[in-house]
Amino acid sequence: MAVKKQDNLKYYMIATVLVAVSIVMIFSGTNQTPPVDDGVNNSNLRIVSLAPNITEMLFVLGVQDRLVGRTDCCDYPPAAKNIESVGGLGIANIEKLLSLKPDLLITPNEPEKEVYKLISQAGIKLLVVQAPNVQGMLDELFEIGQAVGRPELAKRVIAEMQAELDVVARLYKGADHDELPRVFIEISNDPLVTIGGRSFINDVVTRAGGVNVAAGISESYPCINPEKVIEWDPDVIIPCYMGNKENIAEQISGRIGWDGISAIRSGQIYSDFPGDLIMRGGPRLIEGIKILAQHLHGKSNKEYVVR
Amino acid sequence: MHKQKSWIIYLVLLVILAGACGVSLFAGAVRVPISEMFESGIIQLRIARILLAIFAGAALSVSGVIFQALLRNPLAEPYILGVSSGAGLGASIAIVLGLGTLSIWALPATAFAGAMLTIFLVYRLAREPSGVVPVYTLLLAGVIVNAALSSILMFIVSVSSSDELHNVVWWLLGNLQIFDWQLLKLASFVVAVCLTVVVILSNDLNIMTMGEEPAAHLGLNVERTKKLFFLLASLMTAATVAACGLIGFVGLIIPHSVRLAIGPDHRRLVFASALAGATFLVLADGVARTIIAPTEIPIGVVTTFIGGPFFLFLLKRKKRSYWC
Repeated sequence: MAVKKQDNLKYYMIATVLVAVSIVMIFSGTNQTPPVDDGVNNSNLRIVSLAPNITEMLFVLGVQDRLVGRTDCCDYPPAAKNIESVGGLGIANIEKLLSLKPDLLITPNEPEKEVYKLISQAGIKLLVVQAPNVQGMLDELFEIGQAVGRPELAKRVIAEMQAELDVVARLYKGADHDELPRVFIEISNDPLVTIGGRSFINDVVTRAGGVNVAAGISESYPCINPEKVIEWDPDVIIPCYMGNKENIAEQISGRIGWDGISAIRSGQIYSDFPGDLIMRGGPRLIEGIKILAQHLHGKSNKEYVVR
Repeated sequence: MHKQKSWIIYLVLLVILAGACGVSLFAGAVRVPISEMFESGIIQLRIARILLAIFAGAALSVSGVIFQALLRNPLAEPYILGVSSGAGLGASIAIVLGLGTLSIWALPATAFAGAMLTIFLVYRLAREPSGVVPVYTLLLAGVIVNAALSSILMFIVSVSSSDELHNVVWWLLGNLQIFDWQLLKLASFVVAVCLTVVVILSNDLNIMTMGEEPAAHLGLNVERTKKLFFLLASLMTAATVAACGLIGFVGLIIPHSVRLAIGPDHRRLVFASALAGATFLVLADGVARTIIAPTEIPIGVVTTFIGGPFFLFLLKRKKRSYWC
């Protein structure tokens, strides 16, 4: 009998430990993604994202575990790479997409008629989001938040981002338009490509307290004549491409006829700028704007938070 | 008589080229007052660009003349044996690997290497054990290698991310933007040396167009001549592609137009084509950088857009067969 009692005790102890461990595990799991129940039971929602910026927004809204499909280009945050891909940007494989049985498809482009038919027949809800600027990105974030059942969290995130933008705007408050640094953003060096007035990056530059010298060009990503840059005479040149940027400042300074440009004479080639932050219309834009504004207006983070 | 007439032709073409350069020097995205003309960096840029256009246009046209003569095929042009896709593949691999920003030399060097490797491959594929390189085998090997490399290029384009893709496509469309004097000097040195040799040996091209057997009977070392011209044309094309990407149609229509105007004698055709090609590219680049300035359109678009209809017009107008 005594032996049996002891055995029982052992079982109780093991069971207790197991329960404790699983409770800890549950809580540690939920710690990573705070449980935000907005009253809508969407825990079984299956989402497919067809653009990297949309994927980033879904991660910010903490619904990555409901994300069942992404594109090959969705590589941020790194955890996104574990999600199954439905194809390249703009060339999703429709069979693969349907096989994932999503409830919600979020895409940057209106799908073609035939595809639209297939999607609606399969009962998939479609959300098309195309942000033309930073405000549009924030609106999109709310729209997506509503669609995935997290409008409250979305509101909170947006409010935080808006607050950060307001702090950034204080950096150059009161400055005359003519006093703001004139910025040339280089998207490609061979051939020379910059950003026009309609690109959302133009808005990023504006919000960071800079003036995009190419804002007058209507195309989003125009290939421009290098002599125009000499005429624009920007104060800051920002090479914004991926790849090795080790010698890029020397390369730019050494260009034929560019030695008279203000940015080059004063050494204002900002080659360390993390261009990937602003190349996508996603939540990381805010960080990009902050870093760019700090560079353009030469104040450290602490200084302007205190003000 | 013949000598005199040649000089007149060259003089006329030189005057037209000078005129084109003059126009091009004053045309651009930015208006420069004449008083500031020589102090401004803008003029340096324009001069570099015009020089590049001259060398690229001459190189592509003369390569076209050589390939048309060697392959005895009116459709032959500098890119027919795969130089273009070889260079494109080299450059796109460099862009996708992020090497394009490493140095000003990265893209030109990889494009040049790709072009020369392709030519070497095509030549080796076509060469028979006896050392003879039949032109039809060469042509077929070239076209197939071109197609195969293009498919790899398209594969890379389809799997690359959107911003890389943008750069690859822009590069492939051709552009005469030049940022570095050294690059311009090197490319023009290669082209100038090759051009000089071709002009000196241009009579051999006349003999080659008669067919290989008659040429051999006339005492020409056919295989050696073929190899030499093949190398010269490839070097010029590769240097051009490395410096300014792919510029289509120049190498096809300029030799044909010049042949139509002054006849098929290569002793005149080579140098005249060089001048005409240079003029055409200087003007085409003028259009490319002014039509929607300050935005540029790819020069390949201009050459093909003007060149295509012009070529059809020539074909339609042609009463007698000028092709020998």
